[in-house]
Amino acid sequence: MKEFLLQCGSEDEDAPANGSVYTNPDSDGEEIEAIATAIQTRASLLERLDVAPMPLQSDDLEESGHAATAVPPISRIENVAISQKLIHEIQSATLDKDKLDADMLERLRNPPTEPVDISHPDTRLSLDLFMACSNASESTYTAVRDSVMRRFPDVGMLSYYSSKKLISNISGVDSIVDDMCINSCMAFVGPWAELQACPECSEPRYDIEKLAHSGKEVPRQQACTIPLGPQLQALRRTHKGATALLYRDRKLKETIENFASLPVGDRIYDDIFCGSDFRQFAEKVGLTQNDITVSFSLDGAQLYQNKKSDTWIAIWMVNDYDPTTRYKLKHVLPAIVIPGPNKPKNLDSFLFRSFYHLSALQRENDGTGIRMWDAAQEAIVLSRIAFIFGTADALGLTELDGRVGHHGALGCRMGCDMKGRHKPRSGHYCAAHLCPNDYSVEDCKHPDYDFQKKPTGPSPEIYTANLTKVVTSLDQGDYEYNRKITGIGKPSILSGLHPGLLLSIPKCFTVDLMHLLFLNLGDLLISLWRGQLRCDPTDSKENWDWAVLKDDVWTTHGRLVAEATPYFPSSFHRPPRNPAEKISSGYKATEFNLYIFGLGPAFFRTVLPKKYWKNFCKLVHGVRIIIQRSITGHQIREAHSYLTQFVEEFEHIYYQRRVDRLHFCRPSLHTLLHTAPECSRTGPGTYVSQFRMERAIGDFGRDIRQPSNIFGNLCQIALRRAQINALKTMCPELDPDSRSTLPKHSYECGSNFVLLQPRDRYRTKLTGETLNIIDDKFDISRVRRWGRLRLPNGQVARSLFSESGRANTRVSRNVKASFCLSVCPISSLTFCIRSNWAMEIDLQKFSFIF
Amino acid sequence: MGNGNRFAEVQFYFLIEGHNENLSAHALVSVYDPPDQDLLEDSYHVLHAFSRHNSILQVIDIPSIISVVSLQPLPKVTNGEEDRLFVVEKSGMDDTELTGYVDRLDEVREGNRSES
Repeated sequence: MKEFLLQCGSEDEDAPANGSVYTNPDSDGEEIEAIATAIQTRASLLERLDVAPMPLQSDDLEESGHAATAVPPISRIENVAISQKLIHEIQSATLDKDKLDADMLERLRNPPTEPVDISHPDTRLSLDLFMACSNASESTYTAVRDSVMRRFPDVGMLSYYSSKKLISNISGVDSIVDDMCINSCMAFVGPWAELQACPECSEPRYDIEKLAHSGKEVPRQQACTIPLGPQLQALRRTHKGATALLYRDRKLKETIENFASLPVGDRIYDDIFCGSDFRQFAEKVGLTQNDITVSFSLDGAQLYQNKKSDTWIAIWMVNDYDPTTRYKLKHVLPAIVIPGPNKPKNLDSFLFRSFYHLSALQRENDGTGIRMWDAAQEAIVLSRIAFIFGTADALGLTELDGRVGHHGALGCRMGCDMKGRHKPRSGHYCAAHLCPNDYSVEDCKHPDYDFQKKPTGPSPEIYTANLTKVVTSLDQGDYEYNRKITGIGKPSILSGLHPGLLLSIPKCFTVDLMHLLFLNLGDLLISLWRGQLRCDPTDSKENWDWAVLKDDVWTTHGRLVAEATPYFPSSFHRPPRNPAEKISSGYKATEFNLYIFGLGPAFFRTVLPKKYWKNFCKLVHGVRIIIQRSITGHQIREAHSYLTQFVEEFEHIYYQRRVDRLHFCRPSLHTLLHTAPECSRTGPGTYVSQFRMERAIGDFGRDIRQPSNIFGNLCQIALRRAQINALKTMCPELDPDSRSTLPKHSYECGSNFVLLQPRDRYRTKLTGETLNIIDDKFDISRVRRWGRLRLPNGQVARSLFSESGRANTRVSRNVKASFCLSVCPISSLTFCIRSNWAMEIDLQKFSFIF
Repeated sequence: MGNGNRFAEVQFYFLIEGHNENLSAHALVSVYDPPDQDLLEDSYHVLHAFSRHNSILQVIDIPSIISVVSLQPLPKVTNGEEDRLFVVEKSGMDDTELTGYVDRLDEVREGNRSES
């Protein structure tokens, strides 16, 4: 049977039946995907690749969107089968079967409704001290307590242990531990729950000596999970906390209203709720203000440099907060700590506990939500927990989404129908859009990619069909083949979640801009310009006229970058180090960003031949748009136009349709074509970037004090962080940050601008031109000068007054300011008009897209 | 880059007493020339460069200040070029407002200037 039939309906309710959207730029274009066309294209491709047909069970929209609900048989392939078994358990999760202690379970089902009372002076003193010591050791707490008790013997201060217990009780937050392999291969859960030894490395689960001596089963190592339910319940315990969670509902309503009345180009995308996927999801699910939406992020961390300490940490983000609150440490909820020393061989088994718990929460009360006391409504509400995005660093993502590398025929991470091409006698597909000249590989001779076409986004239908193919592989050889052509290695652990409360797979995964732009592309461009890419025997580096960053040029260039440091204001974080010395020693994403997309246009202008420089500038133009926090529909279109031009031109000027340069066409170039459309699908990439997650995660690592037991300590830190976060939300009076923190001698001048010292003690007599200008305008000859100004965006602008006479200062006194037209010289007005006009012409090409 | 936005170096900030003792906040700034048109067009509007020596002192209202930027010396292609600066702006990706990072407010007192 060769026909490939996908009966699934279009995911988008308002999508037309055919691909006619391209001709109607005024329609709700960004949400419309010619999905039917896409599926056909993909289907025919798969057919050519000899993928057997796999009809979908398309009972209804909801079901068809979810891999796991199609319930394929347990795979013959072992690692796939293990994932499937874990997923099946997650699918039938209940709180009763969850590994919760009786108290926690009782509290989850019957949340306390009375306000938290910490008014007793002794209690309050103990809690204050405990929280003040949260970065110190137990002995610090005890020493302070002892001193206080010596002076005031009547004070009933709690011991460290009792304080800890109290905080655990008040917050309701506690951890669950699972035994794991001492080599961190896997956790003893699900189908492995009863094993006595690791199935991977055969290391025993329990301490053998203790088992032999006393018969006690003492686990050798444990992973720690902090269940989400109690942490979420804490968020609503105060009026303030419950009100803060209303942001999502408000923002979503505003967005839907605005989008309905605005032309596509004028829409403003400034949060994940602006993305078409979220809006559709919210409508389908009927999301209410009582529901909570979470995202999950996983990251591997090296806790000590040069030491083997591969620890994995995961966190929950509560999307419902305002973005200015959402990413702050105290609002990020710790989820999992997986001790090292190695990278887990089966990460799913460690993620199992968290997703089992979430699935149980989602299915509680027949899927109507868990009970929460909402202090703002003064009522118990039912709250459904919806899962929106899963993010991870490059290594972790393949574990979370179950996909494999980029080198299959259909290697696109976003699952579009772009088919790669490989060199003769090589199975390694490259992401070349243009067909090479004199090409002998019959299988890859398909015509040039159509850059005018909108790249198709992630499709649950295609994903499900492909996954089924992988799962039903006959044997290892068949599996490896299927894995290669579909890019899927196993079902994602997320597919065990409640299908109605999950932004479907693979839609819940997106492009991580941080890795793509700053690390992958940064590496490609610099390697290219340094002439470090592999040169095939039939090619010659003599012909690489772009490879200019060599020898003295590279050294001088590197020094120039390092010398830029003093001109970066302190709010720019880490300025780039000398790339000639440091680029291969942990050059950070922020460094690549400032180096390539900040300094690049000016610094490469003097070294690159002009056509390569101009091509690079197109990339910068597009990138600077898509990394903004707020992007208009027009800008998305503009960015897409520039990025597409960059990629197409890149292939023409570097790869030049040469078979021996196919390897220049890295997957990251293709992924660039998806970044702008992803903005309209998920909202600006910066809200789902791993960048924010890594900062939060890195912070746990920094808290570690006792190297003797790094991992156990890290679990304690994560738990303490979770409890203290919960406590601060429940008792805002305990949170010092919730009080105003403006320093002395500052002056609030409205609209969130604050003048800061230094300032003149007395009014200073003005002289020279300064006097003329100020006297002219205000009829004043003396002013009291202020040195610094905090802007609404959190940056502090200094001034010549505060910076002069200071050594080793990074210049922070230059600002961008808006000038009303009256002071704007004519010349710059004409410039504005001219450039807008030029832009319109450029964009018409792509007007079908959004 | 919005229309009518320009780059400037702040000399100092000051308050002016208006009617009813309302204080209005201003900054004395040196405003740089608009960006070099040829470079701007050549670079698809990613390279904003202007002379480092031509600037005009001017008073602006504090709310018109948008952000702190980095002004860097522009490397020259030929020795004959004039000294210019170019702009590097902070991206939204690692934006301060979202990550909770703010510049320290409690900067130590500087030199012999003291607060009252």
